Amino acid sequence: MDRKRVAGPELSVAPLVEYPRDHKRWTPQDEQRHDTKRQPEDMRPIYLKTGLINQANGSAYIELEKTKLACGVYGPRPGKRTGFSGHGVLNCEIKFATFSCAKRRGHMRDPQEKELSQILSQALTPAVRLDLVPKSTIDIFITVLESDGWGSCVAAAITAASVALAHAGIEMLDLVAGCSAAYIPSGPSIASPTPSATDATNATGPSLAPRIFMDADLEEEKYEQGAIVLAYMPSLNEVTHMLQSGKAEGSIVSQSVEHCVEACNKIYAVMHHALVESVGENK
Amino acid sequence: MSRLDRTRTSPHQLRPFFSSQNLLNRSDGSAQFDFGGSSVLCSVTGPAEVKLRDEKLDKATLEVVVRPLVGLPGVKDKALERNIRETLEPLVLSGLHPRTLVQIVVQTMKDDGSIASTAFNAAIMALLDAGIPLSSILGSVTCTIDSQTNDILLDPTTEELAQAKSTHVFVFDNKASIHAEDKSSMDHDQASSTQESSSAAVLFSDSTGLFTEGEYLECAHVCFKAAQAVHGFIRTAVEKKLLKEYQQTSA
Amino acid sequence: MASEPTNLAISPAFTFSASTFQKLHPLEYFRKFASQGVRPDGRLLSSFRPTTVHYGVITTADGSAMVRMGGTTVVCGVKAEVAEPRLHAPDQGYLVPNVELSPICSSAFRPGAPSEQAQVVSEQIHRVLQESKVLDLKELCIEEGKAVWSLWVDVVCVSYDGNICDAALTSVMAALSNVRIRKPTYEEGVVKVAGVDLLDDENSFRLNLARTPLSVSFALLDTDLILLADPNSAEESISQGQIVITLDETGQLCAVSKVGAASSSQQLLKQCIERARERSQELRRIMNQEQ
Repeated sequence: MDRKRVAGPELSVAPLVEYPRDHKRWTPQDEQRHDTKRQPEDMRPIYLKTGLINQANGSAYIELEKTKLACGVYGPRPGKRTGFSGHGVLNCEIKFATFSCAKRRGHMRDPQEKELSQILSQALTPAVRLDLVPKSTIDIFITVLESDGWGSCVAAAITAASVALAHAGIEMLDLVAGCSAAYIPSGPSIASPTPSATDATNATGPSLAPRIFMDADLEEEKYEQGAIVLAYMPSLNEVTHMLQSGKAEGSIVSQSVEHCVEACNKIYAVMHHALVESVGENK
Repeated sequence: MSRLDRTRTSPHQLRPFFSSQNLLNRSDGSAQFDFGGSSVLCSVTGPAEVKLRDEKLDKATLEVVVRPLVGLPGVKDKALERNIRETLEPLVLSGLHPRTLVQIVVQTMKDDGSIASTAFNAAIMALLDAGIPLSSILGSVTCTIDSQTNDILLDPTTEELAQAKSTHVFVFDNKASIHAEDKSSMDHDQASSTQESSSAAVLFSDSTGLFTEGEYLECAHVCFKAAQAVHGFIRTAVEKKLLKEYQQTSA
Repeated sequence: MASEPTNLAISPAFTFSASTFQKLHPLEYFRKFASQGVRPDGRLLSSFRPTTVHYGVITTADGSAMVRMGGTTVVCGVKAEVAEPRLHAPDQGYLVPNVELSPICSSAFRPGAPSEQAQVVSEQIHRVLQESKVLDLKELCIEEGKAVWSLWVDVVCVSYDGNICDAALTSVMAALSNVRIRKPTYEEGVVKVAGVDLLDDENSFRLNLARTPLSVSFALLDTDLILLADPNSAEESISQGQIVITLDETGQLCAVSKVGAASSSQQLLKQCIERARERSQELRRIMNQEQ
């Protein structure tokens, strides 16, 4: 029972959604993607803007259609930790708004948020010159207003956070662009949205190479057999973080890494543009 | 004219006051204040050591803790805490005790409506008991507008609050009443009611429900008059206590 | 060496740039502007910041709105879930507003449990919704004694620059007016809704709001009680008190609160109510334009 908030019912659940028999939902068998305008290698259009939060040292807002999140950077400011440290600390916190997902989320920090915060911190730390800010903390706070796919959310968070860091004037080796991709099995035998042990034993399933969908949305993610999130520094041509989950052949992974690197170069242009625009505003 | 509260005959009648100071011997000052069946006990500790985080370099830090009748404090109590703290801050001469803490703990003992007002009155009496320097004292009265009769009921009980269209809590300091007395003694010719209502300066006001501007100002006026009784009561209570102390020490 | 003392004698010992002066003596800095009848951000003492309202910004919510008041940005999302009703009110649903002031929006807020300010604003909104009977909670009943709708009204502050009170209440009212809930069916302890792509009047219902209370805040600067409409965060930090007036569309008052600072005359309160009346009409115009 949370005493520091206006109290509601102790237990509430989302109502059961019942689809009519003839309802057609997207399946991987469909020729096109869930978003019919996109090809498998297409990302969603990115809207990126800096300077939304005027109290923060740097801030950015990113929107990939339905994925919307805001990022604020505070610091470098005195660290909480006592004792001398020659390196600064990068502290990342991701918070999902209670209304950001299909199911309502709690106010408390949950394990998924902790995991995402850690991924973000690992993806950004190699790029930030923390040796230049001893004894300090740089706080990166992210609020996810709406999430449409886990992978795209992480990727957008990385992109937004590095733009916000640059907007705060914190020295970095390079901007970090984040990109995600999902491996979607295209075998005709899979009809259920729960790819489980039955799929693995299926004779036709594994033999067919899965399709790689860049920047998969929530509906596509339901069918994924694996996914990759890549954080990449475009001008240095270096990867800072790679998260690959699920089962995929080596060739698929290396192919999707190539796709992601390519996409990151495109994202880099958008990030660059947003930052140049913010400089123009200051003048 | 009948009220839901059968013990009272008139809508503008307050329940009997009761107060008692210096009840707790481990705190620097304490007081209990009752409006009939509502009772609040308040303790004051200070000036005491302050946490480094809350320290103010040029004045004392005021901290108010509100404990409800049952259970643990919730958001309602937090709101009352803020209201009491921000109302007392300009009253306490905090510049005399820089870098210290004055902690006020408000504990509801019995709840029969008008708890906010009872708490305000208990807090000021506890501050007086603790000898914290104040620029003036305050008096608080609650009133409601009845949803059925549209009457202004002073000092409502829980039952009357449930039937209210709107609820108004007012706090007045005695600076305003001193000015009002001065003015009314200076120029008798002017209509005293308009004079009084315009000079009834509001220290704290919190109204919810549905009401018009006219009703609001009317409530302020009625409560201002009633608050004079509270001021008088507090003054008498403190005088009596001091007299008793004087007699004890001289004896 | 010899020239140094003479230099000191001619020029004053310290000269500050305006921004240094602002940091050292924020109150004095503000008074310099106020004496000329303006504020550091160029507004008159009685003017409000530009405000925008956008509806339906969050598709995962059942109703949503984003409100920007100057530098303050809040997003409000309403989620409808099914819960058991209270024992003493078996046919009434829940309406639960909460305001989140997370550390993203200002360095004044720390991570963790809600700050006092967040709790107070949540409580203020909760009381206004409850006391001025904005929504008949019986409308949220699905099956008496068994299941009701619980509306979780969550306000997230994305950027904080003062006057969270007005921004939050405006976003809550806008989001509530934007709510569309699928018509439920109750069968043997299970509440089902039809899954459809498009919500229309056939398969969903809107909330029947009795009134739309909107609040208007003023900050009080002590000593001479200077009244500042729609204070930003710098002005809030130097002010001693605030007056909040909440009105519905007919001009009826829903809440009046005056907290902190010295006693204010009724003249001042009347003045605030008058200004609040104009401002809330303007806010309503902005809200209706966007809808």
